[in-house]
Amino acid sequence: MSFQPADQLADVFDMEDLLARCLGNFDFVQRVLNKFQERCDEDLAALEQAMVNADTELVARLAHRLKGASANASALRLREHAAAIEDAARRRALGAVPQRLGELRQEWDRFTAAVAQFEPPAIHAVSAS
Amino acid sequence: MHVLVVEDDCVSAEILGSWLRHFGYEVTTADNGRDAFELVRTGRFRLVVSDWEMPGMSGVEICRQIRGRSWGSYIYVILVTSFEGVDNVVEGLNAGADDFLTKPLQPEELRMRLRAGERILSLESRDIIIFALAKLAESRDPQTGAHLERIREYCRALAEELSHWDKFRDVIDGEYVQLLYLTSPLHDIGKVGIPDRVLLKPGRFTPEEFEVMKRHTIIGGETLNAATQAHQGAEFLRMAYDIAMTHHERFDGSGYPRGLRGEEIPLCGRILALADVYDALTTERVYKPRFEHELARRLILEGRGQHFDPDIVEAFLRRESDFITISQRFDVALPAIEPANSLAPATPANLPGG
Repeated sequence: MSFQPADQLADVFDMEDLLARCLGNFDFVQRVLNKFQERCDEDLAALEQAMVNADTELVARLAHRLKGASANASALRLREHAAAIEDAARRRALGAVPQRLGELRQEWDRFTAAVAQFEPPAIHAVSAS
Repeated sequence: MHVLVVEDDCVSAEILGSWLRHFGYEVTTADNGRDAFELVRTGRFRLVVSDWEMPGMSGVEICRQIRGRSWGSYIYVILVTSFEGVDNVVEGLNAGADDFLTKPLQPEELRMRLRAGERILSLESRDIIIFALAKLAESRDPQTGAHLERIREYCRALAEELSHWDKFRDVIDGEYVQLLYLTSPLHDIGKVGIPDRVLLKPGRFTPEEFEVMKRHTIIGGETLNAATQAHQGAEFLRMAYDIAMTHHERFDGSGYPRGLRGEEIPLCGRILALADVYDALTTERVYKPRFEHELARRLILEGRGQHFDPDIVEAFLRRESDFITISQRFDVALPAIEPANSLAPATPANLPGG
């Protein structure tokens, strides 16, 4: 796949912000995105299961972790959805969570599709470690 | 320096680890609080960057566990949180956190906060080294027990008292008190240059021996002055120099080595003069028995305006109960003293500043 300019990816994550926090290193960006995908695949599935079990504490904890990871990956819309779910779970008000969870899942699918298009340009890679 | 990163979120851990290595730190990562605490117990880590919310042991709980134990040195803990609000900061501070980072993390902010932590830790190293240096110098004359520990406490009590007076409010602030506490143990460091035949003599000094003994002020002062010249910004070295050089000066000008009088004597030297004499009076020495507080008090009052600055004597009177408490707290048994043929009674010439 060819490299997607930052503005095309900006819809799902803030590439400029992520690149800055990855010290301008695209390899570092790639590593972070890979870690993020591995973690969130698992956490999102666990979150959906916790919701089925109406386990509010686990919902809050997983949503909190997703929120933090999303923020670190500069995936701001994912972060917003996760934050709303965490907030609802901490208030023990799970009524609105299924809809948010659906939106989170959709956003996640968009995110993974966008990231699949991402290929770091070798010319920009600098050593970060 | 080795940093312990405690983070259950592998994305954050990846980012933090990469940043820290980029900044030149060694990094070890733990993904839960219990493993982290076991790593802290190895003593390898003085900087800990921990996520706040983790299953099992939270970052706040790690802080509490760390602060609940004594360690060989201070451990600086930075909590990383996505929580917002004053309540959370207060909870973290209560648990013993030193600083906070809020997600999403920024590399330059982390770098600056770690530098702040390293500055704090380096100050602790400095303090330990200064005290160790003073203890090393004192080790040649082990008859004085916990003299240095008491001296710095007496000095702190006097300085804290004076800091409330209008006359000294602009001179003595918190930093002054802390510097005095830090540097007062160095007052006799010049004794390393005094030969054993004089330093360890159990009886009265001859005039010639007394002249040799007096030189410890100059030896200490010159040593610290050389260090001051090499490190101009080090305020503590300036105070240490003043203390070593002037703690045997007397308010009426009859002291040594330079015969300074009144406010020609730096305030820290005037404070130390009283603290040093009080300690010599209230502890057993090879040349005198231990005096009770009341007798020491009387002798100090007799020296008001002559040996001692009247203001410092007044501060002593106001903090008398602190002096008694400190004296008792460090009341440790002295090592056995070899029988001496001619133990001289206490004389002004034998006492510090005599």
